[in-house]
Amino acid sequence: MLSTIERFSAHPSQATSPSRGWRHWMVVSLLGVAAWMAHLGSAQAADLADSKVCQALQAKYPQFKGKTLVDAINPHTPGYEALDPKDPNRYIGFDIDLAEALGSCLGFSLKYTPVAFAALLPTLQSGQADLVISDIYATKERAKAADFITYSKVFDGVLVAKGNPKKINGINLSMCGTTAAENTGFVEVPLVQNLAEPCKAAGKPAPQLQLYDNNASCIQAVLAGRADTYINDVNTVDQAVKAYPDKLSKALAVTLPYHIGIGVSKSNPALRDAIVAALGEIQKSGIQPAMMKKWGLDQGAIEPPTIITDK
Amino acid sequence: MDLFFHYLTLGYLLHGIVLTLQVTVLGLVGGLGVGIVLAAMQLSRQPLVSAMARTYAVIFRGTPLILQMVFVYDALPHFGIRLSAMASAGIALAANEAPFIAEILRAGILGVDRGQVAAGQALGMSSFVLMRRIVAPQAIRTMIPAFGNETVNALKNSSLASFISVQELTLRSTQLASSTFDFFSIFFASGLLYLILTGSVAALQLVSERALDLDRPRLIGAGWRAFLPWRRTPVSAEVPMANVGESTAVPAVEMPRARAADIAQGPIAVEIQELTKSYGAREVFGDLNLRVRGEKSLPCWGPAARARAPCFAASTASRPGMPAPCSSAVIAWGIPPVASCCHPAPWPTSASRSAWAWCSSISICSPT
Repeated sequence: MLSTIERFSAHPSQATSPSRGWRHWMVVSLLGVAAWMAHLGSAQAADLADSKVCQALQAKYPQFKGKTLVDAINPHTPGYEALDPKDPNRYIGFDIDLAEALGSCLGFSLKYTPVAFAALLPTLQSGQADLVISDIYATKERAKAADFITYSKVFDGVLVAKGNPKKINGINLSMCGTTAAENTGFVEVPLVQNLAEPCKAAGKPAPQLQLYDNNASCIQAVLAGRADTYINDVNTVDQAVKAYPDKLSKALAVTLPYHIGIGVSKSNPALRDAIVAALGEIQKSGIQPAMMKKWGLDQGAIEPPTIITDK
Repeated sequence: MDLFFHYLTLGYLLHGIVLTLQVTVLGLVGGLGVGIVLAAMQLSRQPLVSAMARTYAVIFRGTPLILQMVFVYDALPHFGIRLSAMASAGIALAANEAPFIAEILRAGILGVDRGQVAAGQALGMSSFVLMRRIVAPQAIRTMIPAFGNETVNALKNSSLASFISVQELTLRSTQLASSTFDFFSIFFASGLLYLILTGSVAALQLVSERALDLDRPRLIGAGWRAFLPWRRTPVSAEVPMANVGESTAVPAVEMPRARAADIAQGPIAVEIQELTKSYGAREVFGDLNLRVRGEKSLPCWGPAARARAPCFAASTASRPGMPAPCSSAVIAWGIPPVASCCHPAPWPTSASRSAWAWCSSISICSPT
């Protein structure tokens, strides 16, 4: 439904054409629906700020109220975080909505700083950002650099050229001798590297890796035939297939034993605890499922917030 | 490519140009400031000072700019220095540009003919005046192309600031491409925007070169065609050379033939024959023969007031019985000219080390 709205509102000139009266009214009504939904969203946010739990949290953590926190993102993941193509001065996506919801619950506003994927945690560690909400998987290794509050399970998709010419069916022996595009610092990188031994044992060449620093480059690598596959969050893969239905396809989704998490500096346990509490409220009030639906993240499974940390 | 023109005029990308230019200007201005200090340090005779400058150059010229940017942005905060993304990018670019600019300055200064410096010293110029009047005007002219290069480099290098979240043109383009999946239109548009920027720098370089071109008057009327790549400054048909001795040839100032003949008839005021001067083991000039006719002005430049004073004194007082007065005379170290109008001038008998005679109108001399 939302995609319909986008399609029509992207061509307002058509709507004013007199020969298309019915379309005009349809667009007006659709825009009305969109406005109502946007209102609903802000009303939700207002409700959230007024909820007892959030009020109590704002009283408990007054240090965040009225502040502007910096959220480091790698805005190359439509659905999670990317520029709004219609108004490139702002970011949109599930992670942005989640950050705003957390902000309205805890009383802070947000500023977004775009960095390379591998620079997300260093930016947090150096204090240039207060939190990271950028579709980042909360692994034990990363928990050494930051504390994570999880909000979703991880499902990975395998992006391949149309028709899957290399017959890749997961992070397994089918990848021997193929080339995978990944972002520097992705959890999939060691998984692919670890295939070298089994492939050798099976008498096949090890898979090759090409490292980039954002999704767009990885998708381009598959489009250009430089890489045979790109394995990443299934929703990102779906968005790519949607953008290039003639050239790309999704081989399948694989489950990885990870969780998507919000990164917070280890030196700021108060923020971590406040986010855990606020996220719980956001999930309980049904806002998170609604947001995931809005962004088409149907294959993400919501999880109650858990802290992943490591000394 | 349908949306190419849409992206070319998109306010979001155009605003990125402003940030690109901010990083570039910060880098160039800061780099020029640090570069001047570095060049001065490198030219210094203090071994410690020049060693420090050399070390700086080795480090900042020898490491990638992207590492320097990430260092300033992400590592300095661990030492308690937290700078904004723009400031980090500007400082890193300036620190990186500085050694390159210092080399341009150093090469430009060293490239100025040593004789020019010696001439300035002979005129008694202080080192500051020497730099401002003699070295800098010539050095800057030769440095312009290198500065043009460096500006274009800095402009393109500013794109690396995208790695530390400066929302300049490259970062905006990649983000927009990620959200719209319209890679080609966007990258072509941003490439064209960069070309317009670097093209403007090239135009600025050409205009500066022309503004400082000493042969410029000859191109008046050529208009914009003066900037065409194949345009050359016309060279005058023939540069007459005057013979001074057998082996030395100095470009002469053109002079009407009749006037030259007139001068050739005048009485001899100064005559030098087979003058040789060595400076240590090095022969500075040898077998110099010079004859100056009277009634002519032969500027005589020297550093020491006591060497000039008597000369002017002699020239202003035209006394009967003296040789034909001249406004001054040629001097050389410690050797009185064979014939001189300036006597009984007490020439300094032991030459001061910086003493140097510089004749500008040597063309009126005729070989003996």
